[in-house]
Amino acid sequence: MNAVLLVGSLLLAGAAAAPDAGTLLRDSDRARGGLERGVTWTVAVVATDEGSVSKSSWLIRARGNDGLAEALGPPRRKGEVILFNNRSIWWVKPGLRRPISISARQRLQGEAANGDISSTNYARDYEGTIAGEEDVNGEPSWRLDLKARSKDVTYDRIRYWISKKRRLGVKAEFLTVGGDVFKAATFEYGNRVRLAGGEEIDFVSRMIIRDAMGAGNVTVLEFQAPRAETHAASVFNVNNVVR
Amino acid sequence: MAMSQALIRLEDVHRIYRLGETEVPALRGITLELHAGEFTALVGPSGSGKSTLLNLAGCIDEPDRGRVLVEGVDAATLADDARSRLRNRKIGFIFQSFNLVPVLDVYENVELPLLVHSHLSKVERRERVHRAIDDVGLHDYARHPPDKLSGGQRQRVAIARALVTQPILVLADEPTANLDSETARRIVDLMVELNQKRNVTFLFSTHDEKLMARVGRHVRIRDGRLDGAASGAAA
Amino acid sequence: MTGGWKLALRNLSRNRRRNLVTGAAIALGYAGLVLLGGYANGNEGLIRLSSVYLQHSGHLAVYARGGLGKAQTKPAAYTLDAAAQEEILAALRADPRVEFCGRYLLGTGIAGNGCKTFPFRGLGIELDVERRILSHPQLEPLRDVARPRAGRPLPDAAGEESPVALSVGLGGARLGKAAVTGREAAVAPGALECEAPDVKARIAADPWVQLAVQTHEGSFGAMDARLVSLFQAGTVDGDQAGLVAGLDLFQRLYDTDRVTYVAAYLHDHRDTAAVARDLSQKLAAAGLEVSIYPYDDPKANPYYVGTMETIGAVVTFIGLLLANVVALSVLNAMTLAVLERTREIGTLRSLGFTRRQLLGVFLREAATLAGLSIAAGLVLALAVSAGVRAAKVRFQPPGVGGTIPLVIAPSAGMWVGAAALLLVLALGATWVAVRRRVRERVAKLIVEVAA
Repeated sequence: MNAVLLVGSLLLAGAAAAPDAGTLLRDSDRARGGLERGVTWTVAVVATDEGSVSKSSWLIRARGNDGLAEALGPPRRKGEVILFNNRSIWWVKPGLRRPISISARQRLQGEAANGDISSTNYARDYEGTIAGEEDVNGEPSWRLDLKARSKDVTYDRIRYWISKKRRLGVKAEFLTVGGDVFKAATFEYGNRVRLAGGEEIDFVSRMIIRDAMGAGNVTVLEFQAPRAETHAASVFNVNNVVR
Repeated sequence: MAMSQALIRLEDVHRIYRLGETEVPALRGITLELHAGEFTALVGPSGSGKSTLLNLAGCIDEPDRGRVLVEGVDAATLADDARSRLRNRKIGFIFQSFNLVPVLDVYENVELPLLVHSHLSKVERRERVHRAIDDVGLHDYARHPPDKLSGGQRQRVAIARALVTQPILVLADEPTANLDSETARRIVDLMVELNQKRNVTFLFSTHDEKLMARVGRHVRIRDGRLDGAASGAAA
Repeated sequence: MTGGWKLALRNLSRNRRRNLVTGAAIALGYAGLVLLGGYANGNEGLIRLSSVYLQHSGHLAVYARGGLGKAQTKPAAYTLDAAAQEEILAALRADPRVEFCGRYLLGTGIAGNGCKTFPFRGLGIELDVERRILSHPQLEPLRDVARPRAGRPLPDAAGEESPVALSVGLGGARLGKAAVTGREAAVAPGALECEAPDVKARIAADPWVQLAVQTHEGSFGAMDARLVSLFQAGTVDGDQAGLVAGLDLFQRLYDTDRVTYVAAYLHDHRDTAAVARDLSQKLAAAGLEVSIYPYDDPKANPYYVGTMETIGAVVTFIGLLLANVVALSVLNAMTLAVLERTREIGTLRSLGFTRRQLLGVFLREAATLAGLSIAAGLVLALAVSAGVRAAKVRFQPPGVGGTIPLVIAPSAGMWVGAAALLLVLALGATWVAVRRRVRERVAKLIVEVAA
């Protein structure tokens, strides 16, 4: 399963509560990843593609806009590393002479897109407007319309539902340029992370990504043991990752 | 002289030429018979209808009214191919301007009518052609192209060509008009001789008074009508 | 009638200059048609060779059923597994009309230089089969096109570590690889420095590229590959993204033992349909679900079919123009001839020629003129094609990275067909010109004097 995927969780940013779209996005991003000082967790990925199932697990370290995913299994994938520097992704494999950069357009292809989805930093990359209010699984939510701020993100438009009560993203639809739903994701928040200051926040525990166009392809990401940790900036330098 | 069935009989034939909107009557009801062995001159001024009458008699034109009977058969009832065959077998033509085929030599020109419709063998054909050429006195010119011949010689070739099929009738339209008087005289002599020796029936048009004296029967035509059916015995 | 041909032949001597001009038009038209057809025929040969051998379509290609369209997106389901490959190869090798076979794996992915990556469209080939192809005597005319633009032919690097050939667009322009023989030079990765002159120089000198793909099983696969040559693909798409590597390398990259298709190369391309039919029956009997595409199948080989259609359209257009010129020349000449000979036509009619016989004289005349002119055109065409052959003219078609010979190879059918076409046109034009005249009243024809 693709590595990139898991990295998913590296989502960032976060701030106070205010009923405007930007604040909502920042709050919800916080529960899916990057915090200013750093956070670590593991993620198990189960991808089902036309009946065939593949599994992998990853150790994720995230800090601000950077993230580093290291493959823990299966055994033949051990040592593979995926590095997220701002919007660029580097993929490093043991024995490979150079890291491989993956561009936004290339991310759209195949399962790579899933990693992209889980790692999207909505507050940074998208301009949001509250387009309406709807219930998602019985939970009153705002429906936000997100438009890309720059061209180097994978999706031009996203529909995003944020729980009114919890201020967490519960559902997202990723649209193609043509306006069709390309993929859809739902988010659960069964984890808690205690920050350095003693504050405890909700943290994502499961992400389910469905391929809206393919034949029922589903990827499930289980997030485990999230903990706040301080990571040095050098951890996320591609030159240090390549050995 | 006992009159057999007419070779050619024209019955009240009319022929009108249409020039745009106007109609010009060329023949206005002509009735005429030609019999075997006759030597007939068709006499009249220019535009009197001589050529038209010859064309009708030769079945290369059709009357607007009246009938043309060739040996009793109405030419109008024949299909084009049959009419072509009839012309080939029964009628010889001699034209004022000879109308030889320039790319063929004397022999070939004379041979031309025998190439169509004829069931003659090659040997018979050759004999006929040579005889016709000899008859007109061009024995030494058989392989000459027409443009190497004088006007009189050319007309002799035309006469040989008209005779080679042994037709029942030879039609000659102003055969001497393009010739000097001496040559013209010789051509007429030749035709008279052929008429007398070979019993070839001739109908020829002319407006040359000197020639008319040599001819047995005169048919005068004026404004498309016969000027009294002047008739005389064959020479 | 007898003597018709003689008369026709004599008539040709009448207006010699006009007949010469008309004859020249027919001769040139004939030579033009034959040479044009020969050019198309010669090109067909070259394009077929290029398509079959250089683009690896084979004379026929065996895909898993549906594989032609779906192997790229669902490789696991629409490629040939090892057992199917064996079955197909065994069936092909048992057929004496098959010269040799090759297995091919198509795949897409991205190729990187440590700084940037670009998409590639690649083909994994068996290097010993490729060696055989490159030394195939039939490919002699395309030797220059088959030659890499830089570096060595891929089979020459067999046995070395991970050799790969890239299109000039991908390897040169996009990945910035100037040299294919350089030694490895360490490049500090990091997107920010990619445009720095020293980094660019090092990338250019570094023969290694990184290939990353989604494996057939759906995960990421990647490996280093060593650039041994740059080639020109001949198509825009191929030049931007073309990549060729050994089949074993490609199978490792995609983590599979499957192939996309098996191509069969025949001794004689004319056997293609028959071999395909027999193979289809054989494989169906073995219970194998495959699709077999001959080299001229538009779905499998749009390049060959499209190019041939384009050439066909151009040749047809020019051919029609030539045929029209010839027809109009004959029509003009015959119209004038009929006009000049109006009185003669009347004379011949009065002597007893039927319409049909007279038409026959003119048709014989036209046939004689056309026949003689076609003979002259034949000599001309033979001389030109021999001259072209002797001069060994070569040219570089647009988008092709090498020169190809100008081959003019008319088929027997073209020599005969063009002659028949022009003869029919000449006779038809004559018929049109003469038909009305011979139907007119004989008396009218006799008195009419040509203008």
